[in-house]
Amino acid sequence: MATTSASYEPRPLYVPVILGTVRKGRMSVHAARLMHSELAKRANVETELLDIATMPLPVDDAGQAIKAPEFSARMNRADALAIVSPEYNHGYSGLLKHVLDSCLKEYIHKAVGIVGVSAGPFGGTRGIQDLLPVMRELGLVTIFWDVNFANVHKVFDKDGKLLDQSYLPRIDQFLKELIWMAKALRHGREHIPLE
Amino acid sequence: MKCPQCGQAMNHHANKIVLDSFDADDGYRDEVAEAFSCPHCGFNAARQIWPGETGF
Repeated sequence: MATTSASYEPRPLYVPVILGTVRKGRMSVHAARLMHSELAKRANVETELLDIATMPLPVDDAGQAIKAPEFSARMNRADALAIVSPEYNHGYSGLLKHVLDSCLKEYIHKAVGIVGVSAGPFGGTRGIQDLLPVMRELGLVTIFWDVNFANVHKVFDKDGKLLDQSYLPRIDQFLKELIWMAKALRHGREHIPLE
Repeated sequence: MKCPQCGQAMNHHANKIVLDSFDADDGYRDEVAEAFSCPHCGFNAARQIWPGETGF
């Protein structure tokens, strides 16, 4: 039987990139901008770079009590997330968790891919491993590709220009998988009943 | 559930326990979120229910 992909793509996918650090001088911003620009080249995909440093979330409470309407609306609209997470002391940024915890229902049955960044040789793998169970509890569905920006000071120059072109095919594989999962989960959310 | 954006019938695709609903005085309340998506416009919605309503 012939099938068409058109039935799965009535609307563009919305796949925002979340930059998960507020630290001054962060090199992760270059990785996030690269992921955003590569996503923007994809047909039928809309994207946006969401920088947690610009989100005015209070720190005198936590969880859904501090939900920001603009961020909640974007998470509600999203079909998938690409999270750029630098590794700090073998973990991810506390403020990234603070932001992610402000939503829950918005994430259910949506795809997520994680991009690790580190100054050392492991490309944020330990931070990614720590994030995986958090993603699951938030209702997100993780893909099996990561992007690991190791020795990040050698990957980008000070202006954010990509110095190592070998990252591009890795990003391509990551985005192919993320978009496939986003399409599959959108179809499931909209057409397959729980029972 | 009817889509609040376009009025079409939404698809109920998930039940999710909300562990975030911890209350310092009462302990975990074990709320469940029912998640819905609209096949027409793609809007996502959820409503909070209590465990007894799903037979837990």
